[in-house]
Amino acid sequence: MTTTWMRWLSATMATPLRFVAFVARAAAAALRGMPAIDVALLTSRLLVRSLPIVVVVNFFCGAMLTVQAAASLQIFGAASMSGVIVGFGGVREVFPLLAGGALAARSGAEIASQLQAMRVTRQIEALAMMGLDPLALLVAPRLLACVFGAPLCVLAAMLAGLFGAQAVGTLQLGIDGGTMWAALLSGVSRFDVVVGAVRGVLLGVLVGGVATFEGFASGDNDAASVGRAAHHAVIRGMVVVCAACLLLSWLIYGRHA
Amino acid sequence: MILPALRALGRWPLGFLVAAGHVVGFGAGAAITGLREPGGGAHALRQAVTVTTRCALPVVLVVGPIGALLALQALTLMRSFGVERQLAPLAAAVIVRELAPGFAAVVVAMQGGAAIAAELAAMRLTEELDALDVMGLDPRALVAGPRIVGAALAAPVLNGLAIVTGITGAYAMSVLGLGVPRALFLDSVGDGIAIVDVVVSEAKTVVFGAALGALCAQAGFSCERTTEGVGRAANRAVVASVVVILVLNYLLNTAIFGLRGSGA
Repeated sequence: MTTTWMRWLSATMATPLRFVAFVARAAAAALRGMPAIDVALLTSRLLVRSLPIVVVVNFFCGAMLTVQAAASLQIFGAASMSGVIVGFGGVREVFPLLAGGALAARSGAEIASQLQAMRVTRQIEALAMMGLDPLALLVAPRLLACVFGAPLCVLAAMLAGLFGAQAVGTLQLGIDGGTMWAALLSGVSRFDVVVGAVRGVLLGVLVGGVATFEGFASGDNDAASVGRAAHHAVIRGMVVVCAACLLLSWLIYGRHA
Repeated sequence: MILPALRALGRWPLGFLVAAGHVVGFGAGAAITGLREPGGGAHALRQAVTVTTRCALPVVLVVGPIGALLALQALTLMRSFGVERQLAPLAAAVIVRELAPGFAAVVVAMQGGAAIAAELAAMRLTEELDALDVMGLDPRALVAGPRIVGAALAAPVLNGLAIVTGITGAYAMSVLGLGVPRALFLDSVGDGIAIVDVVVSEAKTVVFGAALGALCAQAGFSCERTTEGVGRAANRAVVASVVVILVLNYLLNTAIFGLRGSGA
C-alpha cells in the first residue's frame, strides 16, 4: 500500500521537479552569458506576435464583462456603476489571466514547436557537439524574452480591457463617457497595476518555462512530437498560469480579505 | 498614396469576412452531411466522449482556481461594504453565467480543438483525406462532421463540470480559506442560480463548441502539406478559436440581455 502511494507520488512529482530543475539550469545558463541581441530580437518577435491577440481578446473580454455587469446591476438601476466591477475584477484578475492564456497560445506554442523541431532535426545535438551550450544559446534567450514581454502584455491587456469596457459602456449602453471612465478607474488602484506587472513577470517565467521545457526537454524525437510540444505548451501553460494567479492573489490579497 | 492605403485597409476586413464565411459554410455543411451518413450520429457521440475525456482534467484544473480567485476578490470588495452574506449567490451567478462557459470553451479550444486540428492536418499530410476523396467518399462528412458535432456536444457537458468545479473552488476559498460560515455559503449558494441562467449558459457553450470545432476542423483541412504545416495549423486554430470565443461571448451576451442605450 505504501509503496503504491510512493510510486504514485514520485510519478506525479517527477515532471514538476524536472521542470523546476530545468528552469533553474536555464537561468544559470543565462547568467553565464548568452547572446543579448537574441533576447532583444525574440522579445520584439514575441510582442509582435502576441500583443495583437492579447489586445483583441481582452478588448472583447472587457466588453463582455461590462454587458454582463450592466445586466446584473440594471435591476438596481445602477448600470452606470458596472465600470467599477469591471475595473476592479478585470484589472486584478481577469485581464492578466487572459493575457497569460493568449501568450501561451501564441508565443508559448511557437517557442515549443521551434525548439522541438530543432530537436527533431538534430540541430540541438549539433550545437552540443560543437561544444556550445544549447541552454544558453536557445533556451535562455526565449525564456528571458517571455519574462520581458509578459509584463508588457499584461499591462496592454489591462488597457485593452478598460477600453473595451469604455467602448461598450458609451456606445452600446449609452452611459456618459466621463462617468464610465471615472467608474472604471475608481475600481483600479495603482497597487493593483503594480501587482499586475509583477504577476506579468511571474507569468512570463511560467509560460516561457513551460514552453521551453516542452520543446527542449520532452525527450521525444519523432515528427509528431513537434505538434505535441506546441499543444502541451498551450494547455499546460494555461493550467500553470491559473494556479500561479491563484497562489499570487492569495498571498497578496488573501490576508486583507 | 491614400488609395492604396485605403485599399489595404479594406482588404483586411474583407479577407476576414471571406474566411469567416468559409468556416461557417464548411462547418455547417460538414455537420449536416456528417449526421446524414449512416452511423454518423454514433460517430459524433464517440467523438464527443473523446473530447470530454480529453478535456475534463484541464477544465477542472483551470476553472477550479478561477472560482477560488473570484471568491477571494469578491470577498475583499464585499467585506468593505459589509455584504458578505451575498458572496455565495454572487459567485454562483458569475460562474454559471460567465466564467464557466467562457473558460471551459477556451480550454476545450486549447486541448480538444488543437487535437482535432492536428489530427486532421496529419491526415491531410499523409493523404488520407485525398484517399477518401478518390474512393468517392466525402472526407468532410466522414471526418470533419462528427468532430464538429462532437465538440458541440462535449462543450455543454464540460461546462456543467466547470460550473461544479468553479463553485467548489469558490467554496474552498471562502469557507476553508477565508472563514465564511459553511452553512451560510451552502444555504445561499442556490439563490444565485436560476434555471434560465443554466440553460443560457449551456446553450452558449453549444455555440462555442460548434464554432471552435468548425474552425479547428477547417484549419486542419486547409493545412499546408509539410510537417511544420501541421503544427502551424493547430496553433492557428487555437488562437483563432480563443479570439472567436471571446467575440462570440460578447455578441451573445448583447443578444441575450438586449442592452441598447437603456443603461444610463
